[in-house]
Amino acid sequence: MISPMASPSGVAIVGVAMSDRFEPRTELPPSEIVYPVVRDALADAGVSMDDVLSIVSCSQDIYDGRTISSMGVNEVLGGYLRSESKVAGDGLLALLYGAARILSGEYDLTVVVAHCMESISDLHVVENAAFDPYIQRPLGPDDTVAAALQADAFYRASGLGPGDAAEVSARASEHATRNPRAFRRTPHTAADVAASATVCGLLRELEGTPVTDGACALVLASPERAGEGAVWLRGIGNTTDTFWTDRDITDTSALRHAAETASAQSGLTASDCEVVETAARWAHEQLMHLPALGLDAHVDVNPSGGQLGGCPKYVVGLARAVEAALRLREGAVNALVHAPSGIANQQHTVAYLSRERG
Amino acid sequence: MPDVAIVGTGQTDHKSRRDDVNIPELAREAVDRALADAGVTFAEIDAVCFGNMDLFEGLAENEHWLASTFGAEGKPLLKFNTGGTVGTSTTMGAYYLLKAGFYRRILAVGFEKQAEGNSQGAITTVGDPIWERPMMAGAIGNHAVMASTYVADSGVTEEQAAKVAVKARRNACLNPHAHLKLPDITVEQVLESKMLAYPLRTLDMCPTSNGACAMVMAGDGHAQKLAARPAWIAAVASAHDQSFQGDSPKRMSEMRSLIAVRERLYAKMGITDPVNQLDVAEIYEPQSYAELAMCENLLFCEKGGGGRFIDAGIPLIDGELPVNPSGGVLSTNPIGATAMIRVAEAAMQVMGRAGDHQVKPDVQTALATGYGGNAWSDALILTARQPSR
Repeated sequence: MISPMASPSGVAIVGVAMSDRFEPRTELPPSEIVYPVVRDALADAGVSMDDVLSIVSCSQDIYDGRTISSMGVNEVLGGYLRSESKVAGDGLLALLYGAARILSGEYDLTVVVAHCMESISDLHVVENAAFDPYIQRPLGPDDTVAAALQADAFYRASGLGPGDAAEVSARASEHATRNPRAFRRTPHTAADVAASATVCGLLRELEGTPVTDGACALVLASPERAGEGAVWLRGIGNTTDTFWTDRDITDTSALRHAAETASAQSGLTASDCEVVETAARWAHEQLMHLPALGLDAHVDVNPSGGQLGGCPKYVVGLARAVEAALRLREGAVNALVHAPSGIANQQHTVAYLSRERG
Repeated sequence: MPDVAIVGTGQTDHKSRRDDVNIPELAREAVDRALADAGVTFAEIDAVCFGNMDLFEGLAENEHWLASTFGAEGKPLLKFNTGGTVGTSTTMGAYYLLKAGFYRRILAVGFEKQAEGNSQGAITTVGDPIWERPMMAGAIGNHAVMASTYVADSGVTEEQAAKVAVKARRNACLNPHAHLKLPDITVEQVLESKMLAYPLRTLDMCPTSNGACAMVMAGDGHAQKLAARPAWIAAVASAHDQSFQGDSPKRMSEMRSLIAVRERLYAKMGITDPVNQLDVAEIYEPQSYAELAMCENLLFCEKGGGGRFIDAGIPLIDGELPVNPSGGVLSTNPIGATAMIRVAEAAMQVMGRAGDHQVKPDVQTALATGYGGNAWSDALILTARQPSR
């Protein structure tokens, strides 16, 4: 069932920025990670913070080691006396909320920002805090454990295997090597992946994403403020599934539903898109997700190198949108972006971007 | 851009402990009551907006764990996380998503089960780790500093603040959901209660509550089918102060964020005389002095006149402008739900569903505020009249 949602057509992306390179920056506070991307996105849009009254941020308290993580970056977001609000989830949810603020007619500009510093935490501890606190958490699971269980179940159900995931990882590393913003600077082969250390279950170290820090920002505008060369948000769908232990973790119906929603709004499908930027923290996830997006599991996607090339959690969805927007500016017409969140990818956001307003 | 209204509300009966339920069960109580109040089932909800503070219960990304609690499977689910304001941030998020036309009906929900966590330990982390945390740990330390500056600027007395504390706990006796009900409380008892940090005594502060609040919100065309008298959201505004207390020395007597929000809302609504143009206000008063300072900043009285405002009885439940007839935050404070309770209570007044604490049968215009974090202010004006009609 697709809800009869309005199309977001009429939301322009007029400025984009990302951290110069996604890499561990343990020496910096979050504010110094966020400030450059806000500054650069505003400059890219040709507007000043004085023109902006609305900001939607995305970050996670537990990763920043404080409550109200947006307060730690309040001044550099331009929060002082402005309407800033924070969502906690993948950055594409901040894009959804920011688009709603534009479509409401109350703001003609909205800055959308996400940041995450993976390097400053013990990831096992912070990931474990997302599990059911009464029963699951004491058993010590983290996202890697859930991903390993998912990979095993997915391989049994699909007939694919670690060799297919190794190919995905190798292609991602080749793309990342050509992207100065990505963390990975040297490509690896499928054989390198197979020879890398076992992390958990079937998962090998080089199938995963490296630990990185960074931020990403977009400036959204109404059509009146968009000007020449804008990229248009044509559709955006978000769908959650039930908690990981209440469902078949090989099932991708939530992703399919999010993709159908975005398609219904935009009139676009994956086959209309020259650019596909899809997030996966482990290579097998991409093999699972691409068919749900209407693509062959083995198709070459993520010209940026994707999350496997190095990109922090929660930033990853917005980073996919920025990478897609940059390629649309270079001549591509339509782009599909996707990012999941939650244990074993419980929730998905899919968006279509286009050079054409539609 | 469709108008947006609140068409149903639900609250738990807020308490200092709820050992009979776990976290999902606590949240679900409010959700079930809101759905029943609106006369809808999960099948008619298009999306869920959820607000909660991760560190207070030591949970992270709990929207995933709680998705089924909110009936969100197969739907969009947005988690908001902004501190004391989270209930208003969540409401405003739902407002914009409906205003954009993305969805027809949204379930908004917030909760806090503080007995399973350490809220003050979490709140301590809002301070700068080097300069602020050692001096102003938790909410009490921060508020003692702010209340002291307000006392110095306004000359408000301990007795006048105590009257606010008394008003709240007596109003709470009329509200079946309120936590701290003290029918026989006196000003003397407030003044004799234990000093926490000057000038705040135990009875000047909000309690630590466990509870949840939920609302069903709907766009034009759908709202009218679900409520005979929807509470329309006529205006919303949000603003931050600076993060360091030292950057805003008059943080309470001159609340820059609340002044900014007030100016935007009153300009949009044409409000020049709020005491006469508003029928009721549900404001987020974390302590007794704060309510008086906020009333000044909302122009309910002249600057420095907060003490005389309560002396004159204007904010009493039968006064000229009832402030917090629900008992307010001083009576009920499940943090992740607290600001949403302000909105829900304002909506109940507009919808005529506030029961024994209904201030008058025909509430046309109500104000609700949220407060938190870096002296962050949210505010909404709810009306019985549909905004665009």
